[in-house]
Amino acid sequence: MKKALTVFTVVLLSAAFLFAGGKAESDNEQVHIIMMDSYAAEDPHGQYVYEYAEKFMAENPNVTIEIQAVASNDIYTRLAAMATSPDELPTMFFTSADQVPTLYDLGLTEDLNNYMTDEDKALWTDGVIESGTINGDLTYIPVSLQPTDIIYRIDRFEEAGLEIPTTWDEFIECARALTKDTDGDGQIDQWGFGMVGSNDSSGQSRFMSYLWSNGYECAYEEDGEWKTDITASPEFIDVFSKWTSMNAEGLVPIGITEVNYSTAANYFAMGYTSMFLTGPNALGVAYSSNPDLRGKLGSFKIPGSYSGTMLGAEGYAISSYASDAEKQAAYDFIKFFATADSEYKFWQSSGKIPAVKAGQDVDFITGQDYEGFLQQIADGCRPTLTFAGIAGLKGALGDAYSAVFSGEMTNEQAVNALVADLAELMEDYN
Amino acid sequence: MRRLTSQKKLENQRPGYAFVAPVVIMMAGLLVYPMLYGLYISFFNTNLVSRWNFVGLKYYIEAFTDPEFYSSVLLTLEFMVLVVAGHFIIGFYLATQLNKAFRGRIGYRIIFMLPWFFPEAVVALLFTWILNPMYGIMNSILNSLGLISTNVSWLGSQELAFPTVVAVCIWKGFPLVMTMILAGLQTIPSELYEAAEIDGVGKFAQLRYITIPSLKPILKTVLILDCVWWFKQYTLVYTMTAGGPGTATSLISLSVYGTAFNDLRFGKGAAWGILVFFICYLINILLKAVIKDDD
Repeated sequence: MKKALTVFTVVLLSAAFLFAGGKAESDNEQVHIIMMDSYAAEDPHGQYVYEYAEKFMAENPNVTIEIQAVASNDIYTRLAAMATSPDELPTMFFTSADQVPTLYDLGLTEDLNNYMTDEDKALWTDGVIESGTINGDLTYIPVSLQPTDIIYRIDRFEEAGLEIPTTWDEFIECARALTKDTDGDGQIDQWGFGMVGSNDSSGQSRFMSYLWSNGYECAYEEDGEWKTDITASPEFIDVFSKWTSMNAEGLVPIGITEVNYSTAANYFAMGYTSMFLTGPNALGVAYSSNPDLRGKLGSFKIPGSYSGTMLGAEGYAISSYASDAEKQAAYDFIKFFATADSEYKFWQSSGKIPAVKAGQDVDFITGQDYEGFLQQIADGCRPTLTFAGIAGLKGALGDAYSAVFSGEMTNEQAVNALVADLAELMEDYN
Repeated sequence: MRRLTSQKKLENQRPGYAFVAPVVIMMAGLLVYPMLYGLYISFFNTNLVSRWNFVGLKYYIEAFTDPEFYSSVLLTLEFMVLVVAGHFIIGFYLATQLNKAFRGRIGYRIIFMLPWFFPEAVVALLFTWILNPMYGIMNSILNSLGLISTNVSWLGSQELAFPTVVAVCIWKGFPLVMTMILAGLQTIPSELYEAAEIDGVGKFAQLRYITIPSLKPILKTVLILDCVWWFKQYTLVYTMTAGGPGTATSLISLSVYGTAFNDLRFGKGAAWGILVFFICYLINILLKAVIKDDD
């Protein structure tokens, strides 16, 4: 009896394992991809990320997409922290032109040339796919373009009789003319320039754009070594001081170190500021917060004699540690995301410019508000900066302007500290 | 015979070793290994994945020659002392008041506990809005009272950011100290005070000779806990100022995190972390010495 019971138990367990094994086999056909995304965490356009994922899953029942909504400033840090435990990495993740060199350096990005055919590449706007290429590897696929330009209030420019500025001196003159006490209570309540003065990625990127537009290469490769144009020369100190003087002179809202991107975008939408150095996404925020602004906004290229912006492509990279099936499914979803919506609801809602050719003719980007951005793209943007130490570079720039804004250092002291920081950084990466 | 005894002793001890082994292994895995690994990477210029350049003691030497490190440590110590002092002053005062019998005492106890219930990130965001220089209610109130003529950037100026952050941290943390002291006050027998009253002892003398000595064991524990808690403070300060403006609120925890995870200079961050560990260890020894003397 005991023996029979043992045999019965063994048979039962074997059957259980067999069925479990059978199920596992059928599970193999299912592909589960995890998408770490900052768009999904943003309003009002985040909803469309979920909508596109639902549609894709409906069309591809064997694929499930799990979306992890994470703020864009945090994604990079999280991925960097996960680099040492690759099993934890999401299958695909949001990235942008200024973050991808570091992620590529960490070995996190799959070469998407393995998945993207020439036919697919032809769907994207000229130069966009190239902007995501580092050392021949296609590191990510852009879905939106975000060149940095100035958006401005057309009505206020007309009222003040101002021309579009082409140099930073002219820009400061415009900012002066647009800084006012509008209600006559003795307090300034409208500022010319909506500067992002916080010491975070958004503020640092804008300051880097300002330096580029003045002809300063923050980091460039020469003879296999990374170098910088930034020195403690009187010319550079003068350029640096011009930026900080806009705060000293009161042409930007008070408490500038507290003004991050979202605060600055809200100030612009609420009418506190008249010019804003930003990507086209700020147009989406402005119209969403204040629909009365439609028809009152324009854009122009960053003043200065040099291009002050990269293409600002944003999109998705695929983890080099994902399985082949996951990589293929993730690629298919990125392509679906970028090309399947003929109404471009995500882009219209966010104010971002579609990265695909078909998206360049949609109605919402044909007005005066997008004119400067499209002009910038047509005139050419800077090539993608591939310096892996870009986060440290931006941090050093942010520390420098922040020290002056807070009154901790003079312009000369801040530039000297910046030069020392950059020397250490370049040493680390050479 | 002696050999036999020692063998037997070892056999007797074996189950003891077996019982503690899981904990020892876990501690080694979760505490010792990360610390040793941190020490190891502090000798490298590394992003932990693709770059491993040996730099020896470079980052340690830099920490002592570069004012950035020790000014950050000094700022953190100043922050800790001010915040803990604030907690003790407010906590002690409120605990003594709430220990008295009056109507609505329970309600007040709950109200004064509220700051402790809120998560740190929530408190930080609330105060960021309250103190916003453009639309914050703080400036609005001070303006309406005629105390300021133009809006003040509380978190954006070199002079005000640090005291403002300290004030918020005091507000957030005093309830714990208050509650512990209140609990201690309730354990002091009322007979002691009655005897003191009969002997004609004044209120201040009662505080000095009855209340404080009776509370000493609790005060010591709370002091150590509070010092450790606020020395490693990160969330509140990061959310409110991210260490800025400039280096006005750049506590060592923020500096280490920023160096490692923002700049991806893990070696430098690890070296700073190791040095901070020794600083904490020294503080611990100092506090223990003070407590031992008192005992």
